[in-house]
Amino acid sequence: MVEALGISLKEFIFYLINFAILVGVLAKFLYKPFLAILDERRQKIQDALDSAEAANRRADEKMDAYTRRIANVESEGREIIREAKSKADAEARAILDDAGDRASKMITDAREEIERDKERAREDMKGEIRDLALLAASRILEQEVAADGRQDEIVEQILKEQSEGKWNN
Amino acid sequence: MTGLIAVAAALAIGIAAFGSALGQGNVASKALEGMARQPEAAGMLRTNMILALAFIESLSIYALVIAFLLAAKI
Amino acid sequence: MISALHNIGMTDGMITSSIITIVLSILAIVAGRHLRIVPSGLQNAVEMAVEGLLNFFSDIMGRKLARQYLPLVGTLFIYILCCNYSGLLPGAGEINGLSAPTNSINCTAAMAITVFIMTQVAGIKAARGPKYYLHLFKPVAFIAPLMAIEMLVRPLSLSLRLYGNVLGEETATHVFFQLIPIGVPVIMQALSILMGLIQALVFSLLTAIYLSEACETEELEAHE
Repeated sequence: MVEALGISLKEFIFYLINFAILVGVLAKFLYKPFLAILDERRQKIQDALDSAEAANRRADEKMDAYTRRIANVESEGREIIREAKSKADAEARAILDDAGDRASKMITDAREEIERDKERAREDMKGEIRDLALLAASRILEQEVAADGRQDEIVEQILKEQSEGKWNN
Repeated sequence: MTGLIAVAAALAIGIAAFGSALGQGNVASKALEGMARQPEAAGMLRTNMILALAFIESLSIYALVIAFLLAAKI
Repeated sequence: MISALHNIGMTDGMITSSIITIVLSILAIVAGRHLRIVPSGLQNAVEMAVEGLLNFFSDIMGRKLARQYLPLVGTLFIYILCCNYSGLLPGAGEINGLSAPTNSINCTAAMAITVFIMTQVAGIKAARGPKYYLHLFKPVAFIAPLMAIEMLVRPLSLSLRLYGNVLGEETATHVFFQLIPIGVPVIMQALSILMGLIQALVFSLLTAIYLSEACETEELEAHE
């Protein structure tokens, strides 16, 4: 059977050595460098992905910070505007009140002055009327009183009646 | 004597071929059934079917070698 | 020159095997020079081959073991493929010096014995010592002889499978050629292409399975 199969020790050992040499050469020159390159490439891609992810995260954080700051700025601005408006309103009201007070004061002053003028006019008129009345009365009475001597009494009575308001104009 | 050897060689490969044909037919039919049920798995089924066919065939290859050895003795 | 080699006692298969070894080595050395991160041309093709082999065996052995034993199983695959196809080149078997190395039992037996030895070495390394052989006694103690026989039969079956396939294809082609010179042998040769690929695949696949089985005796491997 050995010859029929063709087994021969020399051939066997030759093929053994041949295969061993082939495995050695391929392992050193093919598998080692290529496996290293595959690993290196995978590592590079992983690094690139990681750094891209980190950059993305940083960008997101920055975006969040900015939006928050913008929201703050807006609310601050609105606060300032509100304060200014309320202050302006208060000032306006104060001015209005002041003006109102002054106006009413002016009105009361004017009224008082009018009253005073009226009083004075009345006094003046009283004097004039007294003079006129005296003149008229004296003319009328010249003929009577000249003989009587009662002119002071009559004058007193006339003045009393006038000041009691019997003579209303 | 040579007649017996010839008969033996023929029987060896004949019976081996019969047995392996049965086995391989089973494998192929089940694989085709699986592929018909789920065409997406066809690639995976095909690969494993080829593998199983090779294993079953190797048994009849042993018988073939014996037949060659016997035929060389005629 | 070839007749001189014949006189030393080299067969055609041995000459072809030497040629294949030299060509593959030159290819490997040329492709492995000046490796760039972004590949092109020859480096690209070789890289695809290496990565394809690595992925294919990672499914079976797990990534760590695949990287460790890729030289052995990868070279087995490539070498057996080239040997099988060298038998289909025009003039194989007729021209002096060209013949498929795998159609001789010595070649396949050499590879099978190599695989057997590597399996034992890998098992002993993984189990850290001859404790590896305790796996023969699991699960029951008296099953040890059967397990031992199964272990010893593996290289036999590997070598016979490859040898029988290649020799059978060659003989069938030869016989068909003698019966009908034109047309029919081509069918047999087409089948040879398919079967050559499958046999190379099966040999390296079985080696991978045996290696992974030997290395997982004690620990549970986590497959990636």
